[in-house]
Amino acid sequence: MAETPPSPIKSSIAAALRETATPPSPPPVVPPAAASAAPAGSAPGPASPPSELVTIKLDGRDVQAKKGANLLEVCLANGVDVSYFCYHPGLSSPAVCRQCLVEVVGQPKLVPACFTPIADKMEVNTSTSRVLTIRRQMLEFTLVNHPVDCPICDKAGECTLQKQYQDWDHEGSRSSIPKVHKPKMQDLGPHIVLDAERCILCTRCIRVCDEVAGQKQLTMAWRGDREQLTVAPGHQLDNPYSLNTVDVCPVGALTSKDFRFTMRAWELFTTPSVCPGCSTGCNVEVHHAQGEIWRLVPRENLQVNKYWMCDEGRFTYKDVRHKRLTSARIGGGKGQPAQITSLDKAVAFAAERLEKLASSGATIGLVYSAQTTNEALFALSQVAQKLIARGANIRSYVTGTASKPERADKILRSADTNPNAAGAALFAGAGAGDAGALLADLKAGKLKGLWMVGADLPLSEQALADAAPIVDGLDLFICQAASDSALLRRAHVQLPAAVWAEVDGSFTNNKHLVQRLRKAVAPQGDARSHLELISQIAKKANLASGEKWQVSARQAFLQMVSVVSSSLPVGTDPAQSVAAGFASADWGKEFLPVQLRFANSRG
Amino acid sequence: MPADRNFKIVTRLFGVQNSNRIDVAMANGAYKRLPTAFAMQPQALVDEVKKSNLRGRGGAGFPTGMKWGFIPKGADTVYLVCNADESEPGTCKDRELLFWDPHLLVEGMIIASYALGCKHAYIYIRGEMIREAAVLQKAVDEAYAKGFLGREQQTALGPYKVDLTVHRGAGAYICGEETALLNSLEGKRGWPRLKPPFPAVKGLFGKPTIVNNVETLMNIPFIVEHGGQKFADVGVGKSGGTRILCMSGHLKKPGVFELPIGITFRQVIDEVCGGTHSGKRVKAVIPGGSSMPPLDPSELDVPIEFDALMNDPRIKPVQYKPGHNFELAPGKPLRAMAGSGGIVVMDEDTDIVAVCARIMRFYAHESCGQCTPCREGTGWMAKICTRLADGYGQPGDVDLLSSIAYGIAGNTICPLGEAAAWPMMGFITKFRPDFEARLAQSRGLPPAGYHGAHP
Ligand SMILES: Cc1cc2nc3c(=O)[nH]c(=O)nc-3n(C[C@H](O)[C@H](O)[C@H](O)COP(=O)(O)O)c2cc1C
Ligand code: SF4
Ligand code: SF4
Ligand code: SF4
Repeated sequence: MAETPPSPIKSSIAAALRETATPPSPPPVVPPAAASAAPAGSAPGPASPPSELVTIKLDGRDVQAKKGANLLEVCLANGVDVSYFCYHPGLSSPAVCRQCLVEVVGQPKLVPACFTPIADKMEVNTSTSRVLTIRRQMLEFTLVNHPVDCPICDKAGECTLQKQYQDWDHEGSRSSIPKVHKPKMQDLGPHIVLDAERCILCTRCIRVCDEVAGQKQLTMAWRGDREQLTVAPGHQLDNPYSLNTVDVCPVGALTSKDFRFTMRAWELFTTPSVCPGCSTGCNVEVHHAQGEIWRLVPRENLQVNKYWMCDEGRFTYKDVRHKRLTSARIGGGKGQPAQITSLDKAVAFAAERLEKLASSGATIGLVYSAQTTNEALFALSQVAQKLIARGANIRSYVTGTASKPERADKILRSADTNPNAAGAALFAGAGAGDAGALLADLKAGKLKGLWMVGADLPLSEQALADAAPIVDGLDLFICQAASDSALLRRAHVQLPAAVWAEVDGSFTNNKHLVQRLRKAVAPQGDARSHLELISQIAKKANLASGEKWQVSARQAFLQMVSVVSSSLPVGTDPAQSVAAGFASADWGKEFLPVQLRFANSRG
Repeated sequence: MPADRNFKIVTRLFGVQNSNRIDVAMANGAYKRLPTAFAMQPQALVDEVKKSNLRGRGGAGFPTGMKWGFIPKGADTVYLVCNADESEPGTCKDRELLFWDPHLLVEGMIIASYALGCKHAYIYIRGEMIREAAVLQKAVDEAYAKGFLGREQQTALGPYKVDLTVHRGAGAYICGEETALLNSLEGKRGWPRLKPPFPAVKGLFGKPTIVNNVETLMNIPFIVEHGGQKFADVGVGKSGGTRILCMSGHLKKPGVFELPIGITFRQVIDEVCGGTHSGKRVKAVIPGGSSMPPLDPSELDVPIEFDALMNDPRIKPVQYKPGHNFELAPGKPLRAMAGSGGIVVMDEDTDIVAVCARIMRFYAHESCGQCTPCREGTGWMAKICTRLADGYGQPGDVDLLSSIAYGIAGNTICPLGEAAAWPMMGFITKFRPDFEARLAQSRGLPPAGYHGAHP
C-alpha cells in the first residue's frame, strides 16, 4: 500500500442545491485574552456560557468551533476531508464503520471523529501516515466481502463506497479468500429491496427507521462477517418514511422498487424544487432525463424537512406523467362534447366572453386553487381588481384537494394535501368562500361566470361527476386544469395547465415560508403555467396593460413580494404572519439542471 | 507477602459434599459476614475494597474499589451485575466456583449491593452452563427463603433490602463484554456500547451500574471478615488476594487451582500440574485466555501477576511486522497480560499454526459484527490462517496476517478486536518459523469448493 494522501473531491451538488440552510456562521471574534484564559481540559466553570467557543489545532491550523461540537463536523466545515460511511448529519453517531478515525494528540488510540466532542486546545491530525494507513485499512476491510458488482448495481455512479475507493487508492485487492455470500434480492417491504451482499452494515437505515420515522422496523441478524440487515419475521419495512433508507444507504444495498433498473444515476439531471404533496413543502431534488421525471429525493433544508421526505411525496412525480390534459378545448358547456383547438383560439374565445360578461355587470366567481403557485394566484387577484373596475361583481373561492387527517404526524406529513393553502388564502382575500360555498352558490344560480385556476375540489371522482351538472347554468365557465375531469368536460373553455415540476414559481408552506419551485421538465403538449394562461387571457381582454406580472414568473414574484409586504403588516416571524414570509422570500439562484455524473456520491 | 500454596479464599468448599446447599454452606460460614458489613457505612466498605487491592478477575484486572468509586454520588438507582458469562477459551473457573460455592457469590453480591446502594442485582450467566444455572437459581431461592434476599435487614443506614435475579444468556461470547452484557440483559441485541459513558455512569437501563466478575465478587466476604489490608498482604504489589488459574492443555494434572499471586508459570506447570503429560518440552503457553499473546519457553519465569505480565522485560514485545513493536501507548509495547487466568500449555509436538487458526475461527465466529475492522478482519484472518494451516498458504500470507491484525488492534469499538489481533501478532512474533515452514510446504491454491474457515 503506497502511502499517497487521498485526493479529496470537495464539490458537492447537495451543498450547491441547499437554499435556506443557515450557512456556517463566521467565527465570532473572541478577545484573545478570553480565549486563552481557560486552562486546557478544564471543566466548564459556572461562569462559562453554554455555547463557549474553543480553539483546536486541526492539521496544524487553528480552528474555532463550539465546545463539544462533533469533531467530524468541525473537520468538514473547515474543508478537511475525512471519509466516513456510518455518520449522517441527521442521525446519531454509532461509530461503527471506523472510517473517520483520526489522531488526537495525547490519546494512545485513534478516535472516531464522528464520536469525539471537541475540547479546547485539542490537537487533531487527520493525515499523518499512521492515520492514512489505518483509514485505508478500514476501507479495505469494508471491501473484503463486498461483491463489487458495480456494473449491475443501481447505485453505481452515486455510491459512497465507489467514491471512497477512487479517492483513496485505486489499488488491487490483497484478498484471495472466498467472500461471504448473502441474499441478493430480499423484499423488505412495499417499496424496497435489499441486496445483503452489498450492505456494508453501517446501520444508517436502521437509525432512519428508529430516529426519524420512530418505528423500529429494521435490525441486524447473525454475527461477524455473516451479519445481515433484516426485518423481524412477519414484519415489513413499511413506515411512511421508508424510502429515506434508500437515500441514506451509502451503497446499492437498498434500492427503491419504483426507481431500480430504470435509469443510470449519471444519466439523470437534477433540479431543486419543492414537493407538492402537502402543506409541509419538503425541499426536493427532481431527478429527470429525456423530459421525464424518474424520481424525487429530499434536499436538505433544516427549517423544513431536514434531510427527509415521506414516501407518498416521492410518488407525486407520477401525476406529472400521467392522465394529463395536453390540448385546449372549446365547448358548448352542459356536457356537450368539446372541440380540440389551438391555445390561441381558446384564449381569444375566453377573453372575448369574459370582457362581455364583466361589462354586463354580471357576478363572476374566481377560484384560487391551493395547488397552484403564488405567482398565478397573485396574477388572478390582480385581474380580479380590473374586472371589478370594468363593472363585474367578483366572488372569490379557495379550493383544493381534500384534507386527510389520518396522514398527519408530528414528523413531516400534514393533513392538508395542498402545497399552497396559505398562498391561496392570502390572494383570494379575507372574504373568499371555500369549495362548499362555491357549490352552494352554483346551485343557487348566484354566478353567471366562473374562472377556475386549477380544477381541484375536495371531492372524490364519483362525487365530482355527480356534482358537475351544477355548472350548467353558467354563461361562461373557464377552467384551467392539469388533468381531465367530469367538471372540466363541462367547461366552455378548457385550458391545459402545467404542473409544479413544469413551472417556475413558489409555494407558501404551512410555516409561511415562501419556497421556490423550479422548472425541471417542459410542460406536456400545449400545457402552460397557470400564470401564463391567466396572462394570455388578461392581455387579450385588455386587463393587464402595464402590469409586470404578465412578463415572467420572476417579475410576477417580485411584484407580488412588494405588493404583499406593503399592503400587510409585516412582522418578523413567518409563523406569525404570512407577510413576514413574503418579506423574507427570495427568488434565489437560477440553476441549469446539473447532471448527476458529477455528483460523486449521494447517501 | 505471598501466601502459601494452600491458602484459600474462594475455593474453600471445592470437593466438599453438597457444598452448594445452604445448610452446608452456612455450616462453613456463609452469610456470617453480613452483620459485619451491614454495621459499616457503605463508603467504609468501598474504602476497604480499595485498600484490599482487589483487581477484577474478568480479564482486565481493573482495581475493583476504584471502579466502585466511579458511581456518581447521590445516584438514586444503581445496579450491580455479576458477569458469569465466562466464555474465554481456556477459562473455566467461574463455572467451578458457581457449582461449588454459589452462596459465597450471593453473599458477596449482597455486601457489594449494600456498599453501592443497589436494590436489585443481576447475575448474567452463560447460556450453555445449564447445570450451574440450576445450582445458582436454587442457591438464590434458598437465600430468599432464609431472608437474606428480598427481606429488609437492619443496617447502619436503616432498613435495607436487595433482590437478586439470575438471567441466562443465549450463548454469545460477546455478551461477556460488559456493555454487550447490559444490552443483552435489557433484551437488546448483544452489541457493545460506545464508551464513554462508562457503565458506572450510565449502564443498565441508563442507570449507574457496576459489572464484576464472579471471582471478583466472591472475594468480598473475605475482605469484610479480615479487612482490606489482610487481603492486600496476601497478594503481591498492587494485586491483592489469590488467583485462580485454569490449567489446561498438555498437562499431567490439569485443573482449576487457587494459588498465590506471584507464582511463576514454570512453577505452576512443573510443581502444581506435574509437567506435560508427554514429558516433552513446553513449546508455548497461553497466559490468560486465548485473547492474550502467547509466551514461548524462555518467558515462563515471570510471575503470574497483572503488572508483571504487562511490564516484565523478560517477555518479548509483540511485533506487527519484523522489527516493529506494537505499542499500547507511545513507548509502551504490548507484552502479555494475565487476563482471565486461563492458562493453556502446549508441548513441543503442537501444531502452532493450527492452534492459531482455531483461535482465529473462534473470534471470527464470535465477533458481534458491529464494527468493520473486527467484523471483516477476524473472518479474513481466520480464513487465511486456516488455509495456511491446511497447507494451502499463499506467498505473503504471514505478513498479510500481521498487517490485518495491526489494522484491527486498537481501532474497534470493544476489545474483542484486540482479543483476536493480539494473539495473531503474538503467535507470529514468537513462532514465525512455524508459519514460514508451513508456508514453504504449501500445496498451492486450495481446491475448488474448499471452505476451510466457514463456520
Ligand atoms: C470480548 C469480551 C469478553 C468478555 N468476557 C467476559 C466474561 O466472560 N466474564 C467476565 O467476567 N468478564 C468478561 N469480560 C470483561 C468484562 O468486559 C468486564 O471487564 C468484567 O466483567 C469486569 O469485571 P471485573 O472488573 O470484576 O473483572 C469480557 C470482555 C470482552 C472484551
Ligand atoms: S442497507 Fe445500506 S444503509 Fe442499511 S446498513 Fe446496509 S449499507 Fe447501511
Ligand atoms: S411530508 Fe408532504 S411535502 Fe413532505 S414529502 Fe411528504 S407529501 Fe411531500
Ligand atoms: S470489536 Fe468486534 S465484537 Fe467488539 S463491537 Fe466491534 S465487531 Fe463487535
